[in-house]
Amino acid sequence: MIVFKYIIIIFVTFLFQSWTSEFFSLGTIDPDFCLIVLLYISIRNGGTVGTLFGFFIGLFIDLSSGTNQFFGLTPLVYTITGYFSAFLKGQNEKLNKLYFSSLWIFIILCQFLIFSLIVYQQLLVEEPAQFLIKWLATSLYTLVFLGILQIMIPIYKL
Amino acid sequence: MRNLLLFLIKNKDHFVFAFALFFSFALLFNRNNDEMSVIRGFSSDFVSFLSTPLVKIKSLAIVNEENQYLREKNLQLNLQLESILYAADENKNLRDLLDFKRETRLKIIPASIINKGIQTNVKSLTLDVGASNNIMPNQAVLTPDGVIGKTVLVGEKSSIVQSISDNNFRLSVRIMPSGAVGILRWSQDNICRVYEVQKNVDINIGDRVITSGFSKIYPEKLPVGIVSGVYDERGSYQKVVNVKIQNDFESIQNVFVVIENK
Repeated sequence: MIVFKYIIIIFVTFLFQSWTSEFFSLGTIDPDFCLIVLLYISIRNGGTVGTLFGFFIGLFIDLSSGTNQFFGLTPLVYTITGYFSAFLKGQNEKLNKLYFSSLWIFIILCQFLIFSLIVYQQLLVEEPAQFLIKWLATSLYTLVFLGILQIMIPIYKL
Repeated sequence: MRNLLLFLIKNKDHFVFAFALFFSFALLFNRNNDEMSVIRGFSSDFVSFLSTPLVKIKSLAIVNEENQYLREKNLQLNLQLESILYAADENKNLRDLLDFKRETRLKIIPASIINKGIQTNVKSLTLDVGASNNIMPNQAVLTPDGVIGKTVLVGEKSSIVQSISDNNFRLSVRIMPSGAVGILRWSQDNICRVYEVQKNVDINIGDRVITSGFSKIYPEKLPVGIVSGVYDERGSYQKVVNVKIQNDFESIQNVFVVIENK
């Protein structure tokens, strides 16, 4: 039953991502709603669920994306994000709000950094400034949506 | 065994992470595998199936805007097309006039029709040439397709032409190849009738009708029309010949005035 619940969440998240990313896209930058859901699930449900959720939603995205060049990269980075985010489970009681928030922001920045380092490696070599802009822009755009969500469903109170 | 199981359960997060990483790397390094391509093809079909409703919703959302744009574009193109067709027609007419002017032995001057039917009692045309262009009353007015009338009133810079479609217009014509002569007058809808044609003359549909040259106004052998019907007049020694005028009076814009007959 729990498996079905997460399959449905994966499915709905994927649909939301594919149906709305075009609406929210700023040029070549899209918000990563899958990552937002992954963060919430990992912090709420722990490592196993977070890791598996990250792996399978990443796999689903890669299977649908059509590009062959980095097939397997999305499950990899989402798995890492899910795993490390899960360490924040229950930490809201021990850490203060600022540290807690800084940690999940740091995880997201790292996730986008790993992704950008692999996907935009040529840009990193040729135009490091552009690479930095690309990385920060994609990260910050997703973080903006996460910030808005904090008003309704704060991660700190999960 | 029990301890191993407990160890695995206790550290399941790390094991799951290790397995997920392993599979992710496996996917990354086997991305060109043929079997993987088959799976990806299948999943691509599935995703395209999921995306279909969104595409339909999007297309509905933009259909109004697109419709408006296409209407405007259609109107623009129609206007452009009309303009091009008009220019093409005008070009053809002017070419015909130019060819006619080059070939004719008559002394003619070109004129444009600036008005039609200014007088109520006479079917007339107004030309943009007048006495200053050596135009005088009773000069033949024609196009490459044939005679269309004669000047009746001449001003300094304009002149009025009695059209062949006027009921009081008469023209002496010859029907070729028989050579029969008669008097032509307007009937209706680009059809004129030639009266006073001898009954024993052989006239067929399609014969050419030209000016006879008996008149001082119209030089001989100017085209007038084509025979479209021949009728015997009951109780008379004459027959009536229907002639279709080649000129379309609704669309004529440029004409020539014969200013010297010889």
